[in-house]
Amino acid sequence: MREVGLHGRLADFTLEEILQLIALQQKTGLLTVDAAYPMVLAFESGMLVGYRDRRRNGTDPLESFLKRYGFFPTESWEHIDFVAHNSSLDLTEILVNEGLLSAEELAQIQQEAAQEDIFRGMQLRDGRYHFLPGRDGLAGLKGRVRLKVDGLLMEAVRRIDEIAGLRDRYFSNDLKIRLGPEEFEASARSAAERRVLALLGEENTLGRIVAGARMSEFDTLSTLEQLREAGIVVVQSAPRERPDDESVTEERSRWALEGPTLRLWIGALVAVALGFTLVLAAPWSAYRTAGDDDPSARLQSHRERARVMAAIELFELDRHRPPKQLEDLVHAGWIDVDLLERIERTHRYELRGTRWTLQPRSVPPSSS
Amino acid sequence: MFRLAVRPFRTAGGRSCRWLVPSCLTLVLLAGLPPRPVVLAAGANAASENRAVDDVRLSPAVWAERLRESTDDFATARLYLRKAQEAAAAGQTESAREWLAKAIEEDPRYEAPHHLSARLDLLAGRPTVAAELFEAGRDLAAGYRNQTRAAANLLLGLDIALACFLLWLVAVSLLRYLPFARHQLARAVLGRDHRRPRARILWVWVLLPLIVAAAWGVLPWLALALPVVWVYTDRRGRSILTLALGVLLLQAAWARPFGTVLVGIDPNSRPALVERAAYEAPTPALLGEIDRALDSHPMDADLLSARGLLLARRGEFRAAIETLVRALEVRPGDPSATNNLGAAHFFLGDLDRAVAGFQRAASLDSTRAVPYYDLSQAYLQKLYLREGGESLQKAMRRGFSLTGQVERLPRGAVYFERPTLGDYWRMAWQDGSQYSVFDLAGTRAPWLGVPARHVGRWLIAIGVFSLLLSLLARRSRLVFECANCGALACDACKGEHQGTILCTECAGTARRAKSEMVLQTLLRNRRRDAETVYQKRIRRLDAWLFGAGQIVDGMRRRGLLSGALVSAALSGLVLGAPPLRDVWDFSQPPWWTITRIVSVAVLALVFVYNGNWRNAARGRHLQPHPASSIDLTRLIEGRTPQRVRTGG
Repeated sequence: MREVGLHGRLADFTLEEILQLIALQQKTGLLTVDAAYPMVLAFESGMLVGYRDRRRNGTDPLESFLKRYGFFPTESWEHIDFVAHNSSLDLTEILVNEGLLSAEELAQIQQEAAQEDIFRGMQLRDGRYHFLPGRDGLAGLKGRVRLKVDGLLMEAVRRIDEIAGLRDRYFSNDLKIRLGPEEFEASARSAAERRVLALLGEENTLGRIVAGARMSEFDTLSTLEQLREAGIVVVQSAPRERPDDESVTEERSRWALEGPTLRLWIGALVAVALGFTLVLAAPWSAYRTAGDDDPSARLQSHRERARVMAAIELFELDRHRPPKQLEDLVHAGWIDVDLLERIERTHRYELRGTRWTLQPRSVPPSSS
Repeated sequence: MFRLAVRPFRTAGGRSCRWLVPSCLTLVLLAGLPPRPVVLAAGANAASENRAVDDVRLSPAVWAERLRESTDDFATARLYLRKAQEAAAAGQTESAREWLAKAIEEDPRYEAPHHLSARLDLLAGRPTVAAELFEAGRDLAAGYRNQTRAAANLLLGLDIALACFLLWLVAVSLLRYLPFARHQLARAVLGRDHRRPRARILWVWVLLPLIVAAAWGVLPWLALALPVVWVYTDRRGRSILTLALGVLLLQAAWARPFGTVLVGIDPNSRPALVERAAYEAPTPALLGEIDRALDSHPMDADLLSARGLLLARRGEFRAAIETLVRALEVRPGDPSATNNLGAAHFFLGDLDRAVAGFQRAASLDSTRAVPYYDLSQAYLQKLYLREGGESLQKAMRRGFSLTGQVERLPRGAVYFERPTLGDYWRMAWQDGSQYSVFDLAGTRAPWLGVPARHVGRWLIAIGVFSLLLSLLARRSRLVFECANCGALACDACKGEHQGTILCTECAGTARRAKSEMVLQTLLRNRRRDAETVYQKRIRRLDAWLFGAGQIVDGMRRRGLLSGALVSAALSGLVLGAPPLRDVWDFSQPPWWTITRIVSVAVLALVFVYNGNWRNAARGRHLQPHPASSIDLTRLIEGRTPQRVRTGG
């Protein structure tokens, strides 16, 4: 099938150039980057309107951003995860509706997250891209933003230029950073600096500061650098400490044979044994078949007797003589063997000349 | 009330001559001549009788001999049917048809030859199948013997289908309510830990009693299962169970009306003996049966009359007179016994007493035609031609028709009057309380689990126990379904949100949500997830268990219809043919009867209907906590709930 739109390799045509082209041409469409850091960017008339395509499986850049930089405590994330798992709400809807962020704060964070996304994308050296023009790709896009691509590009380029120097100084997350000798007025510092200083306390590692600063890594490093230059903080290298191996505690089996579970199993086994005993012993069998003298047995007996008598009469009518014995009725096909056995258990057939009688066994045989 | 089947009279040549009898009688009346004996004998007997009778005054021995010759029609017809069946089995269709024609001629009320004839017609592709079946159906409604057998079969068939339906309802409902019982047991045994996985071990304790009870029998199983369903189900379920169980309970509590239908199927019951005395061959064995019954009820006028009739049919006129006199001593105003006493005197040649008897019988009940006809015959024998003519006219004005009589009599004979249908049903009503439909289960039904005579008591006990249990067990203390997702919950594990009683999970979800939008979304999604799984199970149940899913989901109409059809089809499949056959019926119905074929077709139809033709499921029937508000549903669904009902 012929592919439509613009596609190719980032090694040939960088993301920066693609974004410039889209912004310049004021294109509308969806740009998909398939690389080490996959990206999906949505554009409308040259403006970036989406950087999180939640219609596809994959990492949510906004969620990653928020988690990476410690915007919410663990409990909040559990709640967000729970809501997201049990609903079809978008992360932005959850954050605003559950009162975790205001709409203004969310817009600001979205811009920072988009900036971070573009920044990371521009550092990609290889991968494939595909730009699908048109509005079809934008249908169902949630958590929209509206950001100028030019501004994002310029900021990203600035960050790329400066990040190399910052990484040289802050080369490891295990770097210890502590307060310097200089006195300072906290209220005179910017909000970002105050936040970093609050995280720093007396001493902290770079990784922890970055993870809790509620801003991008670049911003955190820049803020730290400003504080260092002002002599407020001091960077101190320290060997990486390996965390102690946490003792792995085996989760107790839910079905472990102990305590109440054991008692339940024993009870169940006793019940099964009892049930088997009852079924095999069938103590109800005597009661179940009791009642030979009940109306049903009498009715059955009367009907069978009348049936045999009818058979005898038909036999006699057919052969002009009564049967010599009841077995003759079976041979002639008038009754079956079961009926014969039952009737012979309870009745006695007597033939004297051409007269016959079928009397119950309880009646004594006729003497004549 | 005296309804007798029509018998076509035939000439010696075999041609039908229905016009002959009234014409001859009219000629006799107009000419005022001594009566020429009317040719009444059928077929080949007519010629020999014409030759034999030269004098209308016959000795009692001759009358007795001729009467005996004319009283074996009943058995002969059965024998001819047997011959027809043998011929049909041998492929001799024409011979079979001849035997069938003879059987029908011998006993016009016998429906079995019409059935076989219809089958032969069907196999031969003849268009007379419907006519034969119509004749069979008409004969089935004629005479007490056929009526009681048809009614008893209908009652028994309906009861079996109803019992199947009840068992089906309870068994299928258990699929829904056994988890309720397990939850309740777990709460009682494990307390706060009742929702932990180990509580599933308690399934053993829930299922085992049912398995043991099933090994005991159907009724013990029902006694255990029905209260479980009864306690947990809602008003609709209870209403339907009450309806199904109530019909059976009614038969147990007030057996007489149903027993009345069944009395006739006992050959030794009073109405059956009276009927046998009137129609079956008057054999010594039958006389012995009646004598044995009289040993138990020596002053029973009906039995005495029947004995007198039987003796008279046997030609033992003096013994008949003795018995009929005894019957009239017990019940002086009995017109039938009085007429038959006159007839016995007639055959003994005592015409004066015969005339007196017939006159008294006519005066006791002037609506009856037979006494007038008999009176006319007695007058004619005495050569009282004018009186004879008048009596004959009276008989004909009362609808008397020779072709309407059951038996063939020698010419010049008088008719014995048989009991009317009203007489039989009166006797059946009197003896009805001694019989129960459950007696038909017989002693060879160990699957019932209880003796047949105890079935009624067990059913009453089950009904009362279920009722008491539902009164004692407060619904608010029972396990219920979450108003949102339908998960089981109880007092110990329930949650609440805005007046709605929910399961802990839904309540926790509702508690965690800080905004209406999130609350609605979360609860709706939980509800939809649960409903998706639920509907899938219901569809599977529907497809494989003939609409059982619809019964599980609140006994919906389609499920009940499917259940009723399945019950009827299963009953038909098991029975195959009417369960109660006449004791004289020795035919062996083929395994593939019409009933079984139709039953299989119905089962297939229900299976396909529930598998493929069903509509999409709408909502879910929930049984939430009785104190639960259903506003939550409106809140989260944005509409008034259609299917959610609070429990009864």
